[in-house]
Amino acid sequence: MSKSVLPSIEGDLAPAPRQRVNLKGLKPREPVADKMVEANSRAIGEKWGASTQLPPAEPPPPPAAPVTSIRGYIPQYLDDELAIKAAERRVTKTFLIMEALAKAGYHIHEADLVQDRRRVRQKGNM
Amino acid sequence: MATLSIASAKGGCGKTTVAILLGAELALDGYKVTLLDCDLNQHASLFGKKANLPRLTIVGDVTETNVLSELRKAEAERDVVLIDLPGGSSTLALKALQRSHFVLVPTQASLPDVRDAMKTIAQIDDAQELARTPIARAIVWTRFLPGFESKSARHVRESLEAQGVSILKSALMERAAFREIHITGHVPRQVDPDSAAATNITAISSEVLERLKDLAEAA
Repeated sequence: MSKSVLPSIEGDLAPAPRQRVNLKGLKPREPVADKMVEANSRAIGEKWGASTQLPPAEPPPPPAAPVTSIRGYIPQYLDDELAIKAAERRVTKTFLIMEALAKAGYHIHEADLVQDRRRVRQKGNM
Repeated sequence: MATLSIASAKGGCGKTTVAILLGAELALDGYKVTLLDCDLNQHASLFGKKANLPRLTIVGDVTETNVLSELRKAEAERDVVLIDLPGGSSTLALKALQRSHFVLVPTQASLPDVRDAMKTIAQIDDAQELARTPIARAIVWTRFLPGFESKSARHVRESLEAQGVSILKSALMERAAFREIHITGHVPRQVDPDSAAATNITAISSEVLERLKDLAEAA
């Protein structure tokens, strides 16, 4: 068996500096609103029982009570005045009456004091 | 620039040690590095007070309230931002994960550590899904005993490897030199660049840089 000559390792002995990695291609993450990051963290955190310093989420508003219809008669001038005020404030006449009743001391939940129930219904249908 | 979180639901698995050693190594390589210390114990910040590493800035007292703003500030100025996260599951950590390019999960080869590491990986998956952006991750074995691997450690390591989780080839060995950094403020490369400890960190940081390079090229 003939003895083979091993190749030179001279090149391997020269210390090569570590090449610097170009990180410029990495940009910071897409800007996202902090509120969104917070909401995501809260959602994942609830799943995993994570400790948090985030303020507790606001409780959902109580559901509106079922409604009923009443009929009655009021003077024409009062109806006119209600119609004008309702148009000015962009609310319904029902709201103005309920608001007045609430001010007079009748118990009305905030969730039931809807400025314009027709708009709420439209939003719900969207 | 790259943002890396060092995270694990398990405490005491070597997050802060990895964060300091990696931050120092990259700074000694010439990268401008900021380390955000989010851990309540503030050990990284205390190391920063003793250290002499001009390219490494350690920002202490980073909390749930200021983590996103501190991160934006650091990202605007630095090449690499490291986030040393507290142990346990927290919404602070979840915020950081969503804003990271890469998450390093230090883990000892024991079942409690690996169980919590897998929990962290699952949380990264959730963060990735909600943030609608890929978050690369890898486990790094820590406190690995040189020249000896117990039967249970091997069993845990092989079981995790079989799960197909991304794991760095280099492990952070159990070395006195790594504990001394907190006393002296000097990392192994500053003390003896040819030491086994210094070589160990270089191997880990090279792998991390390789992963970041792949991410930068794919971006």
